Amino acid sequence: MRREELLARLGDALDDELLVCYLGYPVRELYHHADRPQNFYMLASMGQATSIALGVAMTTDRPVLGLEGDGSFLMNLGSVASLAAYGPGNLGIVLVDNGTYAATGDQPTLARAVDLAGIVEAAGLEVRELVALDDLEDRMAWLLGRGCRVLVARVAPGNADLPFIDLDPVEIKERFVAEVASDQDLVERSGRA
Amino acid sequence: MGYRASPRRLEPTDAVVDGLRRADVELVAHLPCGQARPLFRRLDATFRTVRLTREEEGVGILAGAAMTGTRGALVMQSSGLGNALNALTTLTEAYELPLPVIVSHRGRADDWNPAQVPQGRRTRRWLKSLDVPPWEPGPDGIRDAVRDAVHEAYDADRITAVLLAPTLFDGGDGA
Repeated sequence: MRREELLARLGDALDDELLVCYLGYPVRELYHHADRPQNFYMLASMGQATSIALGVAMTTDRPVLGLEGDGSFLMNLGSVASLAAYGPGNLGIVLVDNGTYAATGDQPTLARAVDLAGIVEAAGLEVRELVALDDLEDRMAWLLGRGCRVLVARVAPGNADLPFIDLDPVEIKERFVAEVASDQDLVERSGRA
Repeated sequence: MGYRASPRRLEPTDAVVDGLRRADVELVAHLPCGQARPLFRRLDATFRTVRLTREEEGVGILAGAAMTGTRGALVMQSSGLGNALNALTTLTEAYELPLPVIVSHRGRADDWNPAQVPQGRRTRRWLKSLDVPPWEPGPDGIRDAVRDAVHEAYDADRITAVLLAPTLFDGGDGA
């Protein structure tokens, strides 16, 4: 499957989950197909997607998805220990493994030198793989079930021909913060806080 | 005749913790410094904490927490600043997020480990080049510096730093 298809399909499957998306062409693809205020787009700070998602998920009850690529995951591999130690049940990580650094010309990462799903499993996290796009909805339901879980999706290299997104970092942040805050207000006003 | 007793001075560990508390910090991400061992034990006993695998990920975690309205602080050794530079600039600064950083200063000229010196001697300069001139409190000023640094970070959506000299934590050793 292609990453662009996966992200478009993911967009269709989302409800109001908060989502942190790793940098590069995935941001362009997700923005093009499934932009929503619950999306936090990373434009830099490669490797931090799982960490940002963890920080969000540890401090809200809402479901949180962290989208991360194989190259950036390898850059912050210590975060697998942090997920194991602190990952709450409302956090799900989607590891999108295309085996390359897409934004810089599809140079290979070291994802094929290791078993990324095995590494995550060895950390004590529950892992499943997404092989067929039609299984996505089921996998998503599992991903956001009990425990901090990881879904590994192997995709083919290749990027959509899309422009850089036209939101700047502060706009991305303000929109995301407003979305989180609005839900909190709702909870408090309804007396459920 | 009588003498004037000096006002009770807070121990540095108490002062940092008190300063963080007064500023309503709820979440502390840290990676320890051997010079300030009691501080890291007290942080775990006082706050919700995240023990980091690398200082850089503390920047990411606290960015996420900041966006849900949770006040956090990063507590680390100055050697961690180098590990955190990319995330500090291209995440925290670029997105205008708040982040107070409490930094215990290694690698000053009198450090027993010469390998710490190349980064330690540049720490102040690096912070200033990040437009984060650090608070550098004396023993009586730690609590208020920490409190003020947290307030400033959240009032202005920026990175702030308190640089703690090794002499403030006498008796520390090790890494």
